[in-house]
This record gives sequence, C-alpha cells and structure tokens, in this order.
Amino acid sequence: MIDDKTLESILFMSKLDVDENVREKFRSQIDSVITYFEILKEVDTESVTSSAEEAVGMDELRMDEKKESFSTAILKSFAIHFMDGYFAVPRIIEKRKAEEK
Amino acid sequence: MNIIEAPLSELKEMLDNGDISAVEIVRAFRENYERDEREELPLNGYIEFFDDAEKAAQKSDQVRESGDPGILEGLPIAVKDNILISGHEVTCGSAILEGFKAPYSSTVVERLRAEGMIFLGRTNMDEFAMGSTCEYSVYGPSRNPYERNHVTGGSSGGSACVVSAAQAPVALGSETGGSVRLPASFCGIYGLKPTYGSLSRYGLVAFGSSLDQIGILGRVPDDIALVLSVAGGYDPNDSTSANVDFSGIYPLKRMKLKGKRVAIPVEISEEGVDEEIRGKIKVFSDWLTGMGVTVEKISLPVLKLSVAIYYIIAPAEASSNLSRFDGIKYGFRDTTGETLEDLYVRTRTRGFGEEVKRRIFIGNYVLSSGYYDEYYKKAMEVRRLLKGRISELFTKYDFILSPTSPVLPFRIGEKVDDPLSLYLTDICTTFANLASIPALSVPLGLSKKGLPIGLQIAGNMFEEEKLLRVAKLWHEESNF
Repeated sequence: MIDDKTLESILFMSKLDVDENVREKFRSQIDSVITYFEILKEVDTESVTSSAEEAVGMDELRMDEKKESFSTAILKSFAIHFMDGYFAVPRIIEKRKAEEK
Repeated sequence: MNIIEAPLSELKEMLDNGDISAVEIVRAFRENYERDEREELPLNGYIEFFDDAEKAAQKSDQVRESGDPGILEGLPIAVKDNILISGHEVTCGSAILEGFKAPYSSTVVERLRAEGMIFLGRTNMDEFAMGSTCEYSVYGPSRNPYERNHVTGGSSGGSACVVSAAQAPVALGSETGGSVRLPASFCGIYGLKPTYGSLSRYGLVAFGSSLDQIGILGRVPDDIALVLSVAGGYDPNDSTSANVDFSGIYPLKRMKLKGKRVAIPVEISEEGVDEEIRGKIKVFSDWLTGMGVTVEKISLPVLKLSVAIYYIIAPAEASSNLSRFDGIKYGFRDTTGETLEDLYVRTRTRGFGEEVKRRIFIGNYVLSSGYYDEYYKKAMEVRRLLKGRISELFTKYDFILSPTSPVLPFRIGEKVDDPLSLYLTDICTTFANLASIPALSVPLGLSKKGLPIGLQIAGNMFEEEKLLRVAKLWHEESNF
C-alpha cells in the first residue's frame, strides 16, 4: 500500500495534485497496478549484462548543421503570457524575499 | 463505384483516368461524415474535419492537370491528433493543449503531402495516446461503427472509426503498446504497427520514446502498403530512424505460403481468450495449414510478463516526456495561484485527465529512489530477455500468430474505472513494441453478436511487406 508520505512525494515530483475526495480511489488504482508489477520479481535476470536498449539505426547520425529556428513571432503565438521576447511567469524573486522576511 | 467505399488503389485509378476529381473525393467523405454527425449517437471519430481539405483538393486537381501528379495525388487520409500538420490544431485529445497550432509538420505528413495526399481531418484519441478504448479523450469517446454503445479500442480509436465507417479510406495512427492494432481489431479493419524506426517520429508528440511508432490503418492491405511506400524510410530528424526503403512494396506481390512456419504462443492465444476469438483464430490457422504452412503451438512464458514490463517502461518515459507541459511555453495555463509552483501544479492538475495523471504518477514512482532497481531496472532487464527470446523464435519461424485482443469490443464505460483490467487488454500487443518488431491486425469476421474479431501476425524486424502480403492473400480469399 502506498503510504501518505510516498503519495505526497511522488505527486510533488509529478507536479500534480489529487482532490481529497478522490485520493483514496486514486491510491487504490495505483496500488493494484504496482502490485501487478510484482510478477517481474520472479524472473531471473542475473544473466542480463546490460539493461540499456540499443536503438535502431543509431550508426547514422545527421550532420551538426546550423538551421533556422522558430521566429519570436511564432514562439509568441504559442503562449498567452509573453513579454519582451520571453515567456512570462509569475514573479518568484519578490515572493522568496517576502518569505525570507 | 461508390467513392467512400473504394480502396485507395481504385480511387487512384479513377483519378488517373479522369473519372473523378480530388474535390469530388473530399466532398464524398465530408458528406458521409456530416451525415453521421446528425445521428443520435454520432461516431465522434473526427475531432475536426478540415475546412481547407477541399481547397487542397482543388490545388491537387490543378497539379494533375499540369501533368506532373505525385504518387498519391488527390488521395485523402485522416490523421491522429498527435501527429503535427503545420497550421492545424494538435491537442493529443487533451485540455492541456487546447488551441495549440502545430508550427511545423511531421516528416510523415510532409512526405505524404509532397506526393499529393490530402489531409481530411484530425482524429480522436485517448489523451496523449494513453488508453486502450478511446474513452480517455477530452472530446468524449469515439463509438464503434458496428455497435455504437461499444468502444472503438484505442488509443487511435478515431482513426480506426473513420476508416471503418467510410469517412476516410486510410488513416495515420500511433502505437506505443497496441494503439493501432487494437482499434483496428475492434473496428474490423487492418492496422499496421511498423518496426520501430521504420517511420520517422519527428513531429509525433512523444509518449514512450523507445516504443512510439506511427502506424497505418486501412480497409485493404494494399492501401497500407501504398501509404507506407511513401511515408516510411530514413529521416535525419529522427535519431532512431532506420535506413530502410519501402518504396517498392506497392502493389503487394502475391506470396507463396507453402513451406512457411508459424508459431502460436499459448500464453497469449489460449488462457483468458474469448472462445469466439479462439474459434476464429482456428479458422485462420486451418486456412494457413491448407496453404502448406506449418502451424505450431509453442510456449513462450516471458510473453505473460509483457504487460508488466510495458506499464513500467512506458509510464517512466511518459513522466519525462510530459514534463514539458508546464503551462509556460504553450497550451493551457492556470493563473489562479500565486507562485510558480502553483502554476505548474494547477495547470497540470486541471489540464491532464485522470489516466494521464495515473501514468505520470506510476512513471515517477518506478523511477524514484528506492524503487528504481525494483521496478524500472528490472523491467528493462526483462525487456532485454523478451527481445532475445523473440529474436530466437524468428530463427525457427516466419510469423507469430495470436489474437489482437483477448476480448471482444465491450460497452463504453464498462472498464473505465478499472485501469488494471484495461491494461490487461494489451496482453497480446505489447510484446511487439517491446521487441521493436512489426505486427499487423487482420480482420477475421464478426462474432455472433456482430462485433469484429481481429488476429495479429507479427514478423521479424523490417518484414512489414511479408505481413502485408499474407494479409492480402487472406483478404482476397475471405473478403474481410
């Protein structure tokens, strides 16, 4: 069973929240899936020397050539909050200063 | 000839002979789509039928008149909502990408466009391709054309739906664990998951990058071959792209099956498989035997683990890939909080649906300190074992045969709150993605209640043509 501390920790890493009224349902659904993963424990993988996956066709990499990227106008069209050529976010420095005080 | 029911090869012939125009083709599919939209329960296969499709068709007719048509000139295709078409909205069936317009086109779309193909619209899907039923979409579920209260299968449910219902002759979908084959099976059409690296992933919104692959859905094997012949092949913009050439595969040549060897793994074709599906597999297997093929039941226990391996690796990769949706650079933003952390959390919590949140959580869980070795590393090791076993199998056999799904299409809402039960419907398909091999879902006919049943043929890496040639023989003999 996923305990409260683990649940909070993984939600924090995921930058997600789950409403209190559906939290137990969410926990139970995740639990059933994680429990199912236990079937892998029975498999002997000692003979497997590497877990890395080799990709297909990686022997042929493209040349490192400079190419035209998106214009500022296109980038601006992606986001509602755009200012002076940058994506705008909430102020963070002022907030931290206020917290330090 | 009825335009909407004609395969691409016939539409191509009619266009070449001047019997019809590209504009007439687009109008025929649009009218069929709009007719269905007036039904009490519309199929909901398209999220959007493009307003500019007819304009593109007019341009295509002009190109044809000029005497230099492309290979696919004037032929239409529908495209899943996670494949970029420049200037068109692309949302992956998610609220978090509402209103986002693609700034460039995917390589596959560019290649099809360069040969004259026309894009009819974008199709419904499980949010970020995470689902097996096409119910986890912000646009609501797509409905099965054979029984509207039943699911289409997913995640490329919209693509399968529009092809099955003659709202498009072919469609692009995407695969991570069965998302082309499962809906193809549930909707009674053909669905190809090509070898990993066969079609460029450039411009396909990432889910599980070591598994993702664009696939093709159609009503006849030759139509899939025609699209693959243009769309496939090496792309320098995708570092995992393979140096493979499909340009000569269309039209599919007749195949001699005599002497071929087929394996049917009992782990994914017997236990837990619906009796009617087993019956249809037997019909196909007997047909192969009659053609001189050696069909053998084999045991490959590692296949029973493929759902567990898949649902560790795919969410792990997804949790990283979907971290880019933070409310800053594009898509939806929740501004109700004060801090940057509030912005991230509230945007993602409101923007993502329940299944996507579950998978991001599972992904971060299996990658986190204390659980990494137990889950992620272990899954990667077992994946390697599985890949080795599959590779060994192809030294003795030409094909692996199984059902595409262990169950028949079920009612909408029946399993939506039971993720594990839904995950287990992928038991027959995930091994092909984990082993990077091609696999094709082939329609076998209908159940007693009139629901489609599909079979899966998997082949060795880059043997798409062989799979399609077997399917062509079956199609010609069975008319499915």
